[in-house]
Amino acid sequence: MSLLSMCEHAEATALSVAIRESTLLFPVIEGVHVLALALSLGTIMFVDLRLLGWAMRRTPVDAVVEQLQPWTIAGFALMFLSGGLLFWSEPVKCITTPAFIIKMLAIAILGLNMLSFHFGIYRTVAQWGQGELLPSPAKRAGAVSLALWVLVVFTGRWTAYF
Amino acid sequence: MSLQAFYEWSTATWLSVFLQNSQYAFPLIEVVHLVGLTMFLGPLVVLNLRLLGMGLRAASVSELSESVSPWLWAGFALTTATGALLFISEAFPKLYENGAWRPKMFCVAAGLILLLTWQRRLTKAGRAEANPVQAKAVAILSLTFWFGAGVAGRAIGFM
Repeated sequence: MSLLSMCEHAEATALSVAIRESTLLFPVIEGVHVLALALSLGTIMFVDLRLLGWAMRRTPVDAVVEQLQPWTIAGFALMFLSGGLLFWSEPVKCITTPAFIIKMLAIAILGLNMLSFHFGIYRTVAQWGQGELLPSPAKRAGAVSLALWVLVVFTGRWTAYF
Repeated sequence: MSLQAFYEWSTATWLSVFLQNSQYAFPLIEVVHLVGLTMFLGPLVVLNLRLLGMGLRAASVSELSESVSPWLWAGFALTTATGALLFISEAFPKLYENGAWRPKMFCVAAGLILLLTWQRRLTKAGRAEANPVQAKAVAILSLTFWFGAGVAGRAIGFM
């Protein structure tokens, strides 16, 4: 079954129709999606800024990462859930919108970036996390994350214009 | 000049006409508005979580506040500048008659006043740690006003 026909099936489900046709449901879900952005992206951005040495230089990297992580995860779960529902309400439109495809690609790269950071340089954080000048893989991870998340916000809002 | 006249005048300026006639100006400005919002709300949420005692306890409130301030105000400036352009482009009749616009401005004003007064005092060295109840109250108020502004802001487009 092709992706398009899968999306056509999804679009015909009762849940999809309900969200699409309700006057309140779609705006409420979208409101949650936008506000959870502050929670997930806000905390992620903060870790990125720390990795780049642009904020919280006196606090060890692992303290910043670990203490913000629960909020990042909670925010991301909310994003994923509300985003999933928004997608479900108009999947055919989404997969045929270039901005949405770019957004999904960016999120995939962000996932890989996050994994390579956590299972790479972050494992030795005890050795370098106190410093103001961080090793370049850590800085690179922060820079990639910051740039791509801005792209995600950009393409996410752009998707809604089509 | 009455309020309505001000809204009408804003929408009649050449800048407004230019923005209304451009196909891409509005969406582009709105996207930057959203990026600015994230830049502003992110540090604010982190600061308020710290005031609630629920995150980043490795740093003191004053240290965290100092560190988030440049980002917070840069985000605020970006949101305000783009917000002003959005206002100019559709002040009258859309925003003038929109039920969500005034509640949003109320939330922004209240959040800003709180940020510049009570919240600022509490982020001085040792204050929040000495007054945990006040710190929590301020954080809850601040989150309510700013998330209120976000919800009302999003609602403008759906009215």
